Amino acid sequence: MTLKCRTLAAFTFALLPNISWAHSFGQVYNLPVPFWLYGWGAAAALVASFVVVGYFLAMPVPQAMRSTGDLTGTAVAKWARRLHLLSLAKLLSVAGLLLCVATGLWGTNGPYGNFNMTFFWIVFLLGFTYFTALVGDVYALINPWRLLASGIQRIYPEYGRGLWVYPVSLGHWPALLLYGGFIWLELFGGTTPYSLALCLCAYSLFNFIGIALVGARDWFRYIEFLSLFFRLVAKMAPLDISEKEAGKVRVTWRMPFAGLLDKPAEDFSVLLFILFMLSSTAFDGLHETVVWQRLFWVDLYHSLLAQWLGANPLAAFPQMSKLLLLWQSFWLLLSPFIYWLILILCLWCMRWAATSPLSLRALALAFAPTLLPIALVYNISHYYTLIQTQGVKIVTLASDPFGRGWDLFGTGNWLQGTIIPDAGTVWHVQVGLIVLGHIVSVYMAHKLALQLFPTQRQAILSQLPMLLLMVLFTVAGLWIMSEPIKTGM
Amino acid sequence: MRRLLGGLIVLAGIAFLLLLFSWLKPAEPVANEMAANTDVQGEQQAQQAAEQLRAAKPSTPSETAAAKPRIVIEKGHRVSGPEVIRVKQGAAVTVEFLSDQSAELHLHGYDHHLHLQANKVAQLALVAEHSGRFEYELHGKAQGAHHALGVIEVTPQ
Repeated sequence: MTLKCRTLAAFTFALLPNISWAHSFGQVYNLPVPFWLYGWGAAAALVASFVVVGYFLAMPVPQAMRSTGDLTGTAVAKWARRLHLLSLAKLLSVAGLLLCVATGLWGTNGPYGNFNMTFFWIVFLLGFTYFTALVGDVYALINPWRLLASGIQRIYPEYGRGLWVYPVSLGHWPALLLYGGFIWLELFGGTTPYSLALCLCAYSLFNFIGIALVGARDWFRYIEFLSLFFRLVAKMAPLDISEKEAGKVRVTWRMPFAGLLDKPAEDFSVLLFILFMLSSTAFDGLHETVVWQRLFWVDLYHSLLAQWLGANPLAAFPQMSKLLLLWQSFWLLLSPFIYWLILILCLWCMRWAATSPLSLRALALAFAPTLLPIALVYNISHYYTLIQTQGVKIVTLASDPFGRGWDLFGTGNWLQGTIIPDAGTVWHVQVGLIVLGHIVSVYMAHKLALQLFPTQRQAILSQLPMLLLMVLFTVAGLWIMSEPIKTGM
Repeated sequence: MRRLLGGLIVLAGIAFLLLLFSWLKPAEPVANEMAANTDVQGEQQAQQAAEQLRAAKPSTPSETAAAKPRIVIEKGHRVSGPEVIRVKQGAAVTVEFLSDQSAELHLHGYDHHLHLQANKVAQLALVAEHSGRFEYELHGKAQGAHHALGVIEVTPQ
């Protein structure tokens, strides 16, 4: 391929701003993190990891004591019960879902003027996730589909029992596949208020039919992907919320992140789910960068595709555009497996370093939850400014959910200007959070190693490969955030 | 004793990272009058300062061209002009637009709207008060509407 052809390909690539594979929703005004800060972050991750190792070497082996306590009988809990907070939350949850559907079907199709886009993508998917990380698995109590299903069950008592027994050997694969599809929709689906309402209706129908077939308990454990998602996020919270029987909610407090060591991931599909939480956010950041786009439009075209699509990049443009979606989707869905390969390599080294009789599978399932803090901080770093710029507008949208010019609560004209977070502050928050999340992950992995391996020496040796793995994931995340972004993405 | 050692290791780590941070952080540019003016009253001063600095520098063709980037739009696509216009926070910048069709230009974030008439140069003047990455695109029924044409990056101080 000639230099002229390469230049032409690069020129075509430069024309790219004219295709908008726009983010599903929400304006992000963040600048790429400057190199010095990225470098510091990477160095900090490495140094902090060794400080943790040093700390564990110095400290005597801790007793297996767990700070925990039951909050169910406390004054706060009684106050919450008296105010019927849980019932209120349940009502708001179902109302939120129904309002999202209604505004999508009958409201404005402008994404920023409709209640449902901001409520679902930002208030729910971002805000409620961070809330769950702080407060615990509230979703298990207020899941709107679970509530609607139990409503149906009041009329038809046989409803939630299920016709078939769910084959437990399938594990959580249905939830993983649904989650994969959902993330694909978020990144590439280009949802509008109308299409979002349709998706919510379809998902609701899917849930209702599924519960009839398989029974509510197994459905919400193995198949409803949001239940699994919030259950995993809630492992990091200092509150452990569980509902043993209907109506009896038990709340215990524990050290933050202690829930990560409670029990290992249930099976391989949950392991992949956790890895996908991490890899999909990383991919979201990556696919917008100049370097990734160049890989497709210039390098891949030049080295491979030009043979089929012709040497003229301008002529090949339309077909390349169609291929782009396939290419992106392929890498999105492959990303957790790439992370899995790196994890297995690390665990193999760990097993060798600690001379442990535990199998690779057992180690993988045990250590997978310790990656969750990295996934959480990466999610926050990447998306939190959306809450600042768009999420707060829910106050205005609540007064005018259908976008018809209503003013139900008097807040219709609030927050007219755009709130732009200071780029410098954003950088420091992003890098700071990522380093903190990294430290938490390394620390919890060490604690787990002390539980799994017989001697302190073996435990600490075993953590060196794990440390490298986490540094790799963290630095990759930081690098993605420091890369220039392609305009139009 | 061992607890003390553990604590010392953590403190040493924190101290090292703080030192590394202050060492890596670039020093703020000393002679940058524009960066200091971020208040509303300073807007005019900023513009005046910008003019003065431009007048003071020996003006070469590339510098005068860089002072007022021109974006040429044909059929809703940017065909000439820089994809990324970089300015420092607080600086005053004027961007010229030339479109072959009548269209409405929208700069996100700053929420500036500029009406473009066919084949007539229009100017977008703004003081870069907010740092960040702001895309601009055409709105309305023009060809190529809602495709980001380019971006203005305002680096913070």
